[in-house]
Amino acid sequence: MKELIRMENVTKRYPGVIALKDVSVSFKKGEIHAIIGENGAGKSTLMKVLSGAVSPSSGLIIVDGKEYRRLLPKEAIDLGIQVVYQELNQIGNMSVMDNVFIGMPPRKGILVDKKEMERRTREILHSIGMDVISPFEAVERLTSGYQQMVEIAKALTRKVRILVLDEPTSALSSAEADILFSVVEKLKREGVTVLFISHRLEEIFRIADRVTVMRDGEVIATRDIRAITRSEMINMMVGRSFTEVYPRSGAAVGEIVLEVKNISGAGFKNVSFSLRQGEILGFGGLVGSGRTETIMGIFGATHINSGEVCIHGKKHVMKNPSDSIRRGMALLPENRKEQGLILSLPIRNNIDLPSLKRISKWLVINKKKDNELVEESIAQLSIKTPSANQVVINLSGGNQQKVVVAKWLGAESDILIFDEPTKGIDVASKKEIYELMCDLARDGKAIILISSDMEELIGVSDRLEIFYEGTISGEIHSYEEFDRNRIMEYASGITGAAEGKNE
Amino acid sequence: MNKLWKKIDAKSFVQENVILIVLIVICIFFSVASDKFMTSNNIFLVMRQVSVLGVVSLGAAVITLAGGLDISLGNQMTLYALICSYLMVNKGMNMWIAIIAALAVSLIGGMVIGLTINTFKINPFVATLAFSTVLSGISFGITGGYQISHFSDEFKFISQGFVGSVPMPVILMLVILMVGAFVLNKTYIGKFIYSVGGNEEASRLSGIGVNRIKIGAYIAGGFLSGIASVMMASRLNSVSTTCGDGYTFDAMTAIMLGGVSVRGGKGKTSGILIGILIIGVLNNGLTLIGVQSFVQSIIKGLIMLAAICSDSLIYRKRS
Repeated sequence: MKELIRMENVTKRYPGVIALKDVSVSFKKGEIHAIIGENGAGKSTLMKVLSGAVSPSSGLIIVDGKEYRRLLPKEAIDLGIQVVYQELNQIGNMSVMDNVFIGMPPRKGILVDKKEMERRTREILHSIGMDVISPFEAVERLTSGYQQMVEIAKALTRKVRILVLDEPTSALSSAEADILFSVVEKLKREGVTVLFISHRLEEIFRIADRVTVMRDGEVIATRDIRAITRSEMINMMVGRSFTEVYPRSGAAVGEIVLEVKNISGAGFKNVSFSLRQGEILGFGGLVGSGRTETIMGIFGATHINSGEVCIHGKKHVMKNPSDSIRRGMALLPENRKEQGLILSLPIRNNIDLPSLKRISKWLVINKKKDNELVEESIAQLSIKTPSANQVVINLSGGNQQKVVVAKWLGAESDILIFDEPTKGIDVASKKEIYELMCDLARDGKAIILISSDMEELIGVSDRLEIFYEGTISGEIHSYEEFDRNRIMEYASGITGAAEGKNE
Repeated sequence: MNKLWKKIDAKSFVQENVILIVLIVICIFFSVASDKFMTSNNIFLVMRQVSVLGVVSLGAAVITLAGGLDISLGNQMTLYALICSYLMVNKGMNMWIAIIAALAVSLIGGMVIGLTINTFKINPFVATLAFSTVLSGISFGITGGYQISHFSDEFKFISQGFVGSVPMPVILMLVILMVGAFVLNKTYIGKFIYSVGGNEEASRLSGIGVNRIKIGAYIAGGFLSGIASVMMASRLNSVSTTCGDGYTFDAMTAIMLGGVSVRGGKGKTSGILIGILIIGVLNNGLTLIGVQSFVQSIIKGLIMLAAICSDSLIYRKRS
């Protein structure tokens, strides 16, 4: 097969981070080329370089023998590079054909040529075997699988030589995924190169011709799919060397404080686990595997449809977060800025928020107790700020996260849930957060750590529950047994799939 | 080094007190432009006019701080003023019973509006636009379009009387603003109002009953417009079906000038007081120097736009 695009020594630096390190990779005409790697491995950045959304710091992109230092979005489109992103950019209440031709409808004078638009939409849908979709249907009424097809149809309105699908199956059922694969195969036969970004190894073995494995911004290898095994692939994805030393709490584990039995809700099903005093329980899995959804349910922030949550042996129904906070739970949410902090308010008002009722008498806040609480928390967590009245928006990511922690320390919680606590913060602050978690565990608090960073998860947790597609696909009971490959297998639903997916 | 610090301090002093400086500049302008402006009579007049606005502005501020919006406050005032006057004049009721009845209705009014917006999760602008039409319909129904007048001297005392040499309404306004400042700054309810307005989701995840706070803010807003309506009726001597018109606009402009963000969660009571004074001085001064009312409208509209623009600029600069 002929080479279509080659990238040579492409590097992308952001302040403080190297997103792509000397990446060289080539894509052939008419192949299905899978790109795999953990979160943050650089897959998305690589695709953005290709689509012109990101300009590389150095390196070359060679298309049809012509060298480019960077591609402009318009150039990329003219070269026939089309990307279907993970989050679909569709206007739900508009019709299929309006979405397909969004931004460039066929015209007749100054009017939109509806007839032509319909004809061409039918033609494109027919070409991918999707005659069942009516051009007039509102997109929001289609299933996510068909919405994906509309997105692909949109890409096909222009000349396409490379179609990039960014985790296309993440929102699809297996039947819907089957339809997608048949379309991908069809495009391949027509000579289109399909770049398929996915976490799901079984899919890759099913449809890809070649696979490129990325890790920490580098290409580890490109192989023919027949020349690689699952375990090799996993090894390449996770086999990074231990660069950081994580503190371990070594806390004595006490009695069970939180027990969850078979809970189901939006985005999670049949989740059961227990959490003991002094324990750091790690939740592993890929982004979107239902970990955040599960703890939001337990915390009372979303609805649990069935199952039980027991705290200190007593069954509780959490109708809202204040119920669970009253029972000693605390949530440090994934999106610090949207869910954890009130950016417009000073540090003081963020820290004392969950504790205000406790330190008030007759509605009036006890100024002295408030000051003590705030000053103590700032000192204990060494939050770097000139004063407690500093507005939170002006703090660094690490200090902001500490403010969120401080908030719950002040509230005297004993079950703390850390959802991606070190996302987007610097190394020094990361270390402080780990040490803090260990200190808390030694104080007898029970901790759940959700993390997509494998090293962190293995480094800090005492025990692991691995999630796959909304349920726990595997558990690893002790630190000694932690094994990257096994975790990755559970997280990709390979071994756990049999028990987890008996539908 | 020392000199440098002083310079920075002066700059931040100006930044933090922009509206106070604006108020002073406006006052200087009008005292030069008209010799009647700085007379004690006129100052008392401004203070009395401003008192009603001050109370309803606090209501608008509480709602806005909690992340809501109520553009029916003026129409609410009309209705509550009419209920109070109708009971006193047409039904011959005792003044205090009439006032309590009007205030009770104002609590219910605020609650209905707050519940509607928060139960159905609807846009507060559109919801209160609808409510304002409903309210003005009810107001017409009560009077049939006629004015109600001939209040007792006792009732007139509320807004026209003096305690020593200080006008009664000014005392009322200052007491109410002080209570407002106390609740907003010293009680946890006040802190919850700021936090809900600042970030609803983070507040919910911190265990705050977001709906209760938001509905409570509308109830407080209704109640404060109730108090303002009684003060207004007492000042005007007669109450018509349009007497509260204009208060929504003036109150919103005053609080935005005072630094209350339309995005919620930000603003101080001291700022609100200055915002109210700016509006009061402008209303009075522009009339004094003979600016025609259509020009006044244009000026006030532009001032509101300027207030929104500066709010947006501050917001974008921050993020």
